[in-house]
Amino acid sequence: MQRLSVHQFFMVLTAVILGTTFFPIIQDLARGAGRAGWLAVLPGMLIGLPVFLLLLNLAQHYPGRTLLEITRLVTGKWLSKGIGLVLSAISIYFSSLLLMQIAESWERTVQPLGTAYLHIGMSLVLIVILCWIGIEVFARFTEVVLPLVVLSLIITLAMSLPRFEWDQLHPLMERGWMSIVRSSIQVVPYSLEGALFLTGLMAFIPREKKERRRLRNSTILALASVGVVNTGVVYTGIMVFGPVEAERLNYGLLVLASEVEFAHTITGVESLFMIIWLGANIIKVASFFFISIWSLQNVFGLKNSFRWYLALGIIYLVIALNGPQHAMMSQEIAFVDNYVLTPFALGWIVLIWGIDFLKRKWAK
Amino acid sequence: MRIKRLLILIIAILSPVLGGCAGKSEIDELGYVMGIGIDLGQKPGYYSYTYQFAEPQTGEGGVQIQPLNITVEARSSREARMMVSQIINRNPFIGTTRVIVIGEEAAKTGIEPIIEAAHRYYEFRRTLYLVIAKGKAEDLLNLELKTGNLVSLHIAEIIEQSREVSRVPITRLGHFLTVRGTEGKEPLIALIEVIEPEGGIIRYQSDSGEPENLRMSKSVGFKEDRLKLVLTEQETEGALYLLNEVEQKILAVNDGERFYAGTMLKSSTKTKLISQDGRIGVEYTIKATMDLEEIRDEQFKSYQDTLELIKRAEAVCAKVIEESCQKAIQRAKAEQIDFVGLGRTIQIKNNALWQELKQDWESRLPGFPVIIKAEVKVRNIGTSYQSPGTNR
Repeated sequence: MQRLSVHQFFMVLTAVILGTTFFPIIQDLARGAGRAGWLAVLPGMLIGLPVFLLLLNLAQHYPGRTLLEITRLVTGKWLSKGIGLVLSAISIYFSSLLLMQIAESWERTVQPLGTAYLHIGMSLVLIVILCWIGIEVFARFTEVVLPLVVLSLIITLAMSLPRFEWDQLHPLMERGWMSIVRSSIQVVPYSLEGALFLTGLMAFIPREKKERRRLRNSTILALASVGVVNTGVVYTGIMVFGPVEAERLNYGLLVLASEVEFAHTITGVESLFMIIWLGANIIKVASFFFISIWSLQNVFGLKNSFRWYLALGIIYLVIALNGPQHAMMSQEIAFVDNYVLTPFALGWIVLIWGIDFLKRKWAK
Repeated sequence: MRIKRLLILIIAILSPVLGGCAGKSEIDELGYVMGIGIDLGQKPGYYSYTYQFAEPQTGEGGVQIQPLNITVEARSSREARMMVSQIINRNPFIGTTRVIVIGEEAAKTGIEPIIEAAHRYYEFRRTLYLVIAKGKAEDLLNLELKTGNLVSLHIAEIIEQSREVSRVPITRLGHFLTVRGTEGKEPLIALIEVIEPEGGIIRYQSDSGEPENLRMSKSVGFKEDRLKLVLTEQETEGALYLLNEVEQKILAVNDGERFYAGTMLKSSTKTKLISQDGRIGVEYTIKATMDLEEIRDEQFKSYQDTLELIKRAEAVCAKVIEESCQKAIQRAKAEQIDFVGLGRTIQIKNNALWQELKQDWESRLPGFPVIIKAEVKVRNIGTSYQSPGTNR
């Protein structure tokens, strides 16, 4: 059984929650709260915290088990299989859309003549191999990629300072407090994507009693770190574009990066950063690939054989290339995230924790 | 374990090359577009697009850049690009474009349809400059400059250097789009014009007798995306103070008794809402520091005189700043075009008030109270307090 250290747990969780949220977040929050959109990020991230804590609590009682396995123990085989099927369907479809988004983000920006087959195909090769090797290697991968992603974001934001339109920050509260509250809720699905991954990851986290506190602190730190980074991204987007432009631009971060200039000479750093951000994309899709394979193994009792990983990869490829494209795809991602994945993750985690809690209480 | 390590290594190596060579172009297959000029076409619904390419050529002194200008008439930017591709033997690369020059007449019809591709298509950089040509953009780009520079690059360089003298608004594509999305503020763009070799206050030697130089000292104001007014140099200067876009500047003032000239090192404009006769208005306070570098006064003799002279210079320079700002405000009110961003100032200071005023802001603008105060501090008058020969 593979196991992660607390540090690896933190890196994996941060990388998965951060994923590629920095691409759509400027537009999403400018649309919701205008100039004050950046104020909604951190609270939105922390709203999801209780769900993570419920999972860590369950992990204490059922060490080395995924939430699907716990579901089987708590509610029985059939409900567990049903939930497993729904989970695998959601994760396969959602991550296929994210996979297509990889190709789209390249084709709409730095590589307009690139082909979707190439981007998706090559990314999938990496994802399948990464997942087949196992969670420990995935953790190592995130340990390398996450610092680069964060560093590239910091460089982009810092180099955007000369483009700041300082007056764009005011009037900060032009849409009122409620718009910030609504936008915070809009951020919750970002963190719940991480919670869904934690339903499987919880089987690999440290089981020692002394590590519990560190795990909890790491979870809070992971959510807060992603919140701070994305706050910086949204703030910079608002300051450079103003709320109206920020709402209009689909890939605000890429446009920010395209404006970066070093000494009037070096431009186009977004092409370099896209390679790094591709790593973030791969981490995100790989996390859902893990969820898919874990749930399929649970439902159908599949062995940990490479051919199943390959078969799942082919399913991803087929769905990605035949699913909704371009603007339809962005809408579909938002729809699945907000109205399918989030209610499912929230309902499932709270339900199982609740039943387990009541069972324990009654047992006493 | 060894296989796993090998696989990780492969993953690490493969990651950076995922994009592969799809869509690649060799560097010598690209035509580097440095500037695009846009005018009204001869047929209705058509625009005239002038693409200025930089053609690297090897000569005696190494590689030299020669301009290659191609003008086509098309209904849209993309159609124009296709037509240009049919003419030159290279793939036009837009990513190097430094400046878009829009002809005066084309700008009057609205520039949003003109820059549609520029704000939508990723290859255009939002850092490129927008300028308006007095007359036709095509004529301007086809000019053979005395310096031998590409006109597009020359314009970009003038704009970048103008930061030190703050003569004209610096409008990048991104800034224009941001202002277009901002309430209570209309865009202001620099006007570029050809200067004749003879006659006028600027003269230069020309072997051919043809115009070979450009000048940027005025600006144009827009109502939404349509060019509506050409501002004078003084109005442009005033607008820049009010918009807090003055960085460094040369001030030259004659108060009838003495002549003062120097470099303004720093300027900042603060705004606040005031109540004047029961009406809400805006007060601008401009604070600047300067070095006095030229003082022409025969009476300028002693240290005591110097102190008085500095105070006098500060007052005179402040008055000049106030006058230019008043001119800009008067023009904005007369034309009912808020290029100084009065509405935006109200929105920042009191959004609720702005929500009331914005419905009929244009009609309220002419009567809206504005107070302008300028303060100038002289920081330095050079290495001597006296003129040569003072103590002879």
